[in-house]
Amino acid sequence: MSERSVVDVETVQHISELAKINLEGEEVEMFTKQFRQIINYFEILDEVPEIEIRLDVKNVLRDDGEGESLLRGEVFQNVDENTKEDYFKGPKVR
Amino acid sequence: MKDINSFITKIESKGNKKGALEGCTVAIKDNISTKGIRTTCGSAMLKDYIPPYDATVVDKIKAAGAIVVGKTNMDEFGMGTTTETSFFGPTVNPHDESRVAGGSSGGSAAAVASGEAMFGLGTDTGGSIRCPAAFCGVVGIKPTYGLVSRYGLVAYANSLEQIGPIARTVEGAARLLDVIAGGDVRDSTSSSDGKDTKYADCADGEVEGMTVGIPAELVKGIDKNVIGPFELSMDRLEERGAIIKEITLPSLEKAVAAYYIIAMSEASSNLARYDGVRYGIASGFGGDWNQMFSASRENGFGKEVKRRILLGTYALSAGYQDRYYAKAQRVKAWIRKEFENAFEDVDVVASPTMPVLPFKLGEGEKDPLKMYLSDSNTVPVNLAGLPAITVPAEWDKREGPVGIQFVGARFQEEKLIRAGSAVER
Repeated sequence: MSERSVVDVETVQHISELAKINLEGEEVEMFTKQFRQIINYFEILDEVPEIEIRLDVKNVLRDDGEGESLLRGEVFQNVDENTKEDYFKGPKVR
Repeated sequence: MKDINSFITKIESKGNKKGALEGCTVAIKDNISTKGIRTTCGSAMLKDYIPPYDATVVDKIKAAGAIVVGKTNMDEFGMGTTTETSFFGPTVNPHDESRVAGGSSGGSAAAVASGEAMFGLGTDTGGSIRCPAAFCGVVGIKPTYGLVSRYGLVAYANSLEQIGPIARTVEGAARLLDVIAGGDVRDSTSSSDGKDTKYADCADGEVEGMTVGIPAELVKGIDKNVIGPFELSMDRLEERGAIIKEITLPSLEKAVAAYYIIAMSEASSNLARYDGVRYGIASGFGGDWNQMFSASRENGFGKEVKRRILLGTYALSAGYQDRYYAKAQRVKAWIRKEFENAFEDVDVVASPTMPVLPFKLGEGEKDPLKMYLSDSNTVPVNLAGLPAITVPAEWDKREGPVGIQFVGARFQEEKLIRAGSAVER
């Protein structure tokens, strides 16, 4: 048996930083409660027989050649905030 | 008729080609890319996203003469069992407006059940075609992993998901599968085993001598309103000459936990692309990159998507990977092995598709674990990469639709179509 993991408010705040999703205070509390329950359920995997993982797979590669590309205008139509020229806009690097 | 909210975007279009789907209307789930037509994945994040290309399945159905009538409602990014996590509101069950349509392909299943489209395309990561098809009283097929190209499908958990057909009859679903099956150079996980199929010809109800295994693990704790119609269907198969056998697959008891760990882990990686820069909603460019990403994702994602990304991040984080992800992969291999052994003795495996009748609207919101557990009978199929079909049983009109699920060995869709068509007769 592995050691029980304890999920607390700090754990949820830490993973929200790793996952880059801001959370509100209420959400942190709700997720803490739910994650405890769900992760507790995951402990049923503690008892799994040893099994050899063997997959019969092979790499699939295409020839390295030129193909069609997407049109610039069609790609840039999906940016939320426009730049004057065709550049993706991001925050300033300080 | 009351609006059941099955479509996110309706399309006026004409099919202009001759072919296998000439004149047939098709509703497409909104996580399958359609060139020039917004594809939202049921999310605020992509509410204005317009794909610059068509998914391979869309190319194929158009070339076969299909008329695309709209993009259908779904749980956000496919994450749900009810279509209630959609940013665009829930889809209502066409048979009972107090109940959900099931999910995540709830819009496609409801559109087919209500007659808004002849066919639907859905996607199935852990039951997302089979659950809504069962809840709406229609037929759904989750193909063998690799039978249908995933090119143009917006990824949630790549190692598990497949695009598949929804229709009112087994023959109809098989006909649509014939059109979309086949290898694709743009999807290196697709297989050429799917070309030149004649699935529609297999819907002949011929089950004489077919062996049907019923795993004890998948009929335990099933709602009595579901088990009754299931047993009736099995009796019908027996009358037609099938041999029913009880079997056990102990690995299936661990399937839900293994499925959610793998699906959430893959989701945490796949959905990292939504940063608000190239597409999606951006939330100000004032701070640094981390602040901008974190704000865009806070505003763009709903609760269930956040929950799964966070849990996936946790399962893959330092110190926990061996405890969760590695063990889940072991369970996946175990399930695969047990199914392989089972198919040495039986042709197909049968069970109720869902352990319960369609949920009441709003029932699952407060208890995510309860919702996850209702996927017990569908997720093993995705972990093992196998094909499965759900066919409506004769159901009590006062209660609600019940689906019968058949699972087969890899690329043995023919047998599922035979067994399914025997149940519907």
